[in-house]
Amino acid sequence: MPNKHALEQFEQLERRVQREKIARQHAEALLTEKSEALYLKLIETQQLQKNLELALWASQESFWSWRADTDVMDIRSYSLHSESVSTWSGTLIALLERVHQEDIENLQFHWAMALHGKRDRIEFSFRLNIQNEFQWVRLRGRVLERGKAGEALQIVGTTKDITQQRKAEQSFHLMASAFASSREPMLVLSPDLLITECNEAFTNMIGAAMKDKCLGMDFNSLLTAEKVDAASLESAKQQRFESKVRMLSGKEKAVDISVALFETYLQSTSYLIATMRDISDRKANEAKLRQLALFDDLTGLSNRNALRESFTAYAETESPFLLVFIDLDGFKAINDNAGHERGDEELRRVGRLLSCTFTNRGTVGRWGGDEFIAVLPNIGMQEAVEKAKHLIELIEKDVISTQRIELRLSASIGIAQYPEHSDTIEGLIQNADAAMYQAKTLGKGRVFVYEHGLYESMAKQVTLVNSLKRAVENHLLDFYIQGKYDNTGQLRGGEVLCRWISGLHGVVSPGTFIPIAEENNLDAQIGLQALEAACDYISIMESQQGVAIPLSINVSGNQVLDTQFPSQASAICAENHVSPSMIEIELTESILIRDESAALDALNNLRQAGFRLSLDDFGTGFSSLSYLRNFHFDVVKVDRSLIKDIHLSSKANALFNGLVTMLKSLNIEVVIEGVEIESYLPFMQQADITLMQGFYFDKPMPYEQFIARHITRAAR
Amino acid sequence: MLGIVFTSLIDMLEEKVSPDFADEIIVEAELQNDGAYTAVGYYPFEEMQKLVGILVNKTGKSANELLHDFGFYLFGKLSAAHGSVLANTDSLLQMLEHLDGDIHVQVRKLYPDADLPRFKVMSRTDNAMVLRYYSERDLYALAEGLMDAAAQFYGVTLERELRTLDEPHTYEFSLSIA
Repeated sequence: MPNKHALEQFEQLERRVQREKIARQHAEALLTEKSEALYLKLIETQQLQKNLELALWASQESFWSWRADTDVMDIRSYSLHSESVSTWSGTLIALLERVHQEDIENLQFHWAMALHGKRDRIEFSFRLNIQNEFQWVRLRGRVLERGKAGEALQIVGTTKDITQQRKAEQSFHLMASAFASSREPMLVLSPDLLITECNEAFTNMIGAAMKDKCLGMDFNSLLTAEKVDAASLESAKQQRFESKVRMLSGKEKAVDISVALFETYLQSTSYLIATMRDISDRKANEAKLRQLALFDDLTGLSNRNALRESFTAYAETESPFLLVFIDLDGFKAINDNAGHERGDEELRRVGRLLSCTFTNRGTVGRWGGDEFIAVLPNIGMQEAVEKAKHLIELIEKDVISTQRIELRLSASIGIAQYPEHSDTIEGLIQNADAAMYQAKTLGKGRVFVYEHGLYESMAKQVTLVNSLKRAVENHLLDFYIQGKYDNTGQLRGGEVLCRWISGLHGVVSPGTFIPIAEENNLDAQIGLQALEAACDYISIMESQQGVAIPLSINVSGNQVLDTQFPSQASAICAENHVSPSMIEIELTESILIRDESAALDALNNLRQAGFRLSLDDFGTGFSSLSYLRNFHFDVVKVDRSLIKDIHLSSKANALFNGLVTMLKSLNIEVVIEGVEIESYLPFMQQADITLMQGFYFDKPMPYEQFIARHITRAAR
Repeated sequence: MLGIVFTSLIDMLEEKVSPDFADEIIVEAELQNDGAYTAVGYYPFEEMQKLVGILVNKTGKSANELLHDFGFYLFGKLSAAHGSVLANTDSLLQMLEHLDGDIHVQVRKLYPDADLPRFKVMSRTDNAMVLRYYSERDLYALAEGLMDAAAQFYGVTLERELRTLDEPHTYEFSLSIA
């Protein structure tokens, strides 16, 4: 029995041990299973957190949190690969130390509202000093937990660096205020040209009291001349034109308009920016210049340009007309004895008589000096001759008394018929001129109608010398200008060049008539006339534009050596109120060859009078360097032959550069002549040439044309 | 049902009667795991029903009487294993009030899907409380035992009254502390 009991005891113990063992194994398995699950959960949680961090990183936001118990604010930013980086951590006071002075008050206000006010949301921007530079930071947050008194215990949120955004905003505001405050009228237009925005300058220009009046208007409806071509803008993207804008008062104003097409970021819509410029002043100036260009200052009659225009107009309609050429007899005597002013008065009187005589019959004008022309389409030859005779009688009526003598003016008149006598304008003028010569030859105060063959026989009789003498005496030469430009294309000066368009001989080149003038002692007068023209041009420029460019004139060797010349030249300048420093006298080395010491004296006199001196055509002839040593020229003009083909020949380039370097080291201003093609320009730039002249820039042209060209240029 | 209830029951039998008795009950009940319970395990409620059924036969006591006694004993076990829960409270009613929020959280850590009874405070004064009790297994007697042991732990006398509500498995305790 005891054995059996012991056995049962043993079995029971065995069962209990077995139970404990199984329970332990079960518990162990459970532990493994649960820790595995826990680990997976942890990984999952970490991934979730990383995702959240990446989301913050992707939106370039940083996370921040603040707790009342520690008063510590912790700002964390995240990156793609590394763990979260705490960029900043500290108390609110420490944060405030890094906030821009101007933003502290705002920050404190918003913070207080969140902390003690009822406001759970918090959002504001401020500048924070980050690595010694202020960055704009936008802070957003929400109160998570409040204490019993409603005070915030925990606030969390995000911050974002919005510096770039701020900069963009600021630059936008800057642009907007530039637009608003621009003195030039500016508009924003929709693609169908409706005004969506405009600035004050625009409303002022069209005389609108309020901007609202303009918004929604069709821009083209305001333009009374050329309009915006919306279709061509599509491809060309911009347009520029002159037009007229109708102001609200109904008046019109000349404007220059630029329109540019802009496409927005995604090109879904486009808009146009139009800027306008009031060019009414310029237009008025242009009109004034046109007046100047077409009318004779002294008599108010048409000038040579206008006369040519009317010939051309008549010739184009192929209607016959008469050309009446009037040359005064005895005018030089009046000028010489009674003075220029009296002479001018006589010219004005003749102008009036001429106008009266041929009123409504055609155009009358002053051809130059004491020559007048009438172009008469509506008159028969007989009537014209009678009227011409009557005109001579009227001219002769006036008696001009001086202290010593009585002077009487008369006229010789030649008439030619288009197209009977010549079908070209030049030819017709030559014919009328020849007829006038014939009238003079026959005894002055007469009218002579052109006969075939007269011009040919007259051309034989009247030599170039006589014609030139007459042209010089009667101031019939023209003085053209060619500009001098710097390497940015800016006009810096000009050269006055003499041109002779003879009635009888047509256009005679300076190469032909200058030697004739020198042989016949006409060169001194031509030089003085050139100086008068230069002074005249400069004073017109000054009065019209406020500033003038210096002009150079060419003076012959004889004239320079003429001891009278410096005082004559100074007198002309004084008379026209032009400073001699505005005048540059160009001379060739020929005078130095002739008599160097006399030349040096003469040049010194001109220098002392204040004129600038320029050695012309340098590099041709002898170009003796001793001239440069013995006398100081302000300017040397390097001859065109030295730059010819400079872009093709390294030898030419080397010579040119050496010459320029030498001149510069002598402190002489260098002007390059003959700059005819663009290919020369880089070589000029390379040699640091500051003044150039040549066909690339412009050809010599009449003063009026020259000025009209540069006024328009300057205004653009 | 949580393993600690099973291990506590076996502990109680071994302690209050004898290891032989405990073994006898386990063998007789023909349990799935032959009574190899671990406190952190989770076992079918039917096993507890089997054990209680055999105990009813052996002792002649009613199931509720047995469950009340077991509840009383279980409190000691639980308070030893999860003392921190009691440490945060200083009165019986406060402890009962936080039953759902505190103690059951510990269970859910291991068994997120465990079927736990639910307590809801319907009214509360300093000395009295109406507590609604919901138990799928209708173990209100076990709960009463636990409450009585807790009253003893806090050194108070608890008067309680049980009311069965119309809703299934739902009971209401009116508790007051003398």
